[in-house]
Amino acid sequence: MSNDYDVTKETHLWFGPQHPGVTGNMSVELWLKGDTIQRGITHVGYLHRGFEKLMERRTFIQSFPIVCRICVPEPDTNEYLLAKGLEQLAGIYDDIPEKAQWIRTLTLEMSRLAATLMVLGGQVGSMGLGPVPQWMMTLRDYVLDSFEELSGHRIYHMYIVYGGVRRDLPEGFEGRLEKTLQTIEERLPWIDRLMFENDVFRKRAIGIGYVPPEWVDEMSLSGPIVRAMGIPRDVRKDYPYEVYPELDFDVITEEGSDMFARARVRRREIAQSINLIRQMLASMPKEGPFCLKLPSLMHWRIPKGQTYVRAEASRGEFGYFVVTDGSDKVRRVNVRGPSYVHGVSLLERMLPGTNISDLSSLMVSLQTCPPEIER
Amino acid sequence: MRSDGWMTQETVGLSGLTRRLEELRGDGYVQLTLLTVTDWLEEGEFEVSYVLTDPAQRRTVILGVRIPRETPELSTVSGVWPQAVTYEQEIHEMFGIRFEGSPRQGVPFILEGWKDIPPMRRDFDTLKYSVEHYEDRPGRRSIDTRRFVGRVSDEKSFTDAWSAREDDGRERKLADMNDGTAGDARAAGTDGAADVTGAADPGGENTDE
Repeated sequence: MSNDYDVTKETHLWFGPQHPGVTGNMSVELWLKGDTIQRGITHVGYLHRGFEKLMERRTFIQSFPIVCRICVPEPDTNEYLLAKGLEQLAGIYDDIPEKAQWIRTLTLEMSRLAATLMVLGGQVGSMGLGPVPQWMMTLRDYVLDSFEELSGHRIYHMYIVYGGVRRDLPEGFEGRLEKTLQTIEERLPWIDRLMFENDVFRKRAIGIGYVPPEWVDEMSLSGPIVRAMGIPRDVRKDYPYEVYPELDFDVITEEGSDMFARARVRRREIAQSINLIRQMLASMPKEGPFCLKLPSLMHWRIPKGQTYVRAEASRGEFGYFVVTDGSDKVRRVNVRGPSYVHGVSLLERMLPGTNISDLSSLMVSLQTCPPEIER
Repeated sequence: MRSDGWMTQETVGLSGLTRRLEELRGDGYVQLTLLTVTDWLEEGEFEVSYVLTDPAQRRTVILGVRIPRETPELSTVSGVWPQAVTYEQEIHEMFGIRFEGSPRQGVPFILEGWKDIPPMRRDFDTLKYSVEHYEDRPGRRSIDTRRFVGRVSDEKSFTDAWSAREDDGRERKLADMNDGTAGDARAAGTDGAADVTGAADPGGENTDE
């Protein structure tokens, strides 16, 4: 007699679009036998707002409020890459003032820190451990406080602009940011105890969600997923940008290529980001301009050309393909978010054989961010 | 030297595309980082760009191929790079370019039940589409800031504008707090108040309710 628990019977199930696996909306269509996934297809489109098309109809400066909305946890990478791409095409990228480069790198690292805090909390949150995500969101909020002080905005900062940054660091900002970093550092041992020494987390993360190393080049994977395989790949080191070459850091790697290894990489990258921010605060030039003097941005025209720029976000390689045609608007912008590969192709390839109860934590572990898939 | 020295660009004819991709792959460009399209409407062509990365030597090439807009067809690269299926699926949906041999061509990726021309093409009229498909929503009751812009420095007009609003106790109180002249406008009666409204609201009435 056949029933729902009969492993020979295939069940068709829709997972999402609202579920604990992702920040945003994205659904997965699953075919299961028992509780084991046989295959699955991802479905996106719930957050499509046509950013790339909108940018083709707006002047360069009007594109800034658009790009930061491509990623909620980490908008600064988008702002930076749009600015960098167009600065390169306009031929002014080499003239960006030194202080602006330092502040840009500081902002990028702060946003990496905030996003990593959020995803690490989500990782255990998807397994039902409540306190860690609550702490992590609080700690992220302290970083957002610093962003608010810096830019006037908490989530979408629109702080990195063409020619540099929008305004200088506020008086006494370094001291207050240092205090935030100390608060985060004080809480990290608690998180280690409750997360990495927790049997529930270890049992559900070690050996689960394995990604074979040969998929890296085949699928162009990047970020913590690759570093958790022991492969030291990091855009900040491989294709150095802004002031990263002047900072002292090593690429963090772990062995195992499972959910636990990826969480370990992220946990260590929090400490690394704190260290990098401290280095920057100590060696940043105190004087000098923070933005290049540009002609009126209302009538700015950029000669014809195309470029591809990249930066390391907390999830992996973020890229912008920018084409200009001599007018005051972009001809084409294509945003290459890491989730485009990780959240669709890689996830679909990993689904067969996965237990359905691990699906949410697997998606968090791949750090899927739907808005950057559908842009 | 801050410009990215790791990137080169080249273009190739449609007939030589497959061979060039194989050459580059043999040369170490083993990763397909991005597959994208630019619409050169005026020239009647699409430019399909393959962004390839060589992780060992840390370099990137943008390989561009031009294809006519009338017959937008290419062969797939998903046999070599599995994630290209998603790129090709999206490009087919958004630009109408067909990738021969690619699975999921024509399967909806983001759009659902789309009948118009592919929306990322330059000749797709976004304004016309939104006018046809989205209706105007009736406005909410709000304070029209146009009443106050440029009048803040002129204290009398400011308070007049406040007091001219319909009879709302809280707003009256605010106006009284600002200046005693608000009382004069009230004393002039409803006709007077209507005049002030007309003068202070050149952009027309608020769409209340």
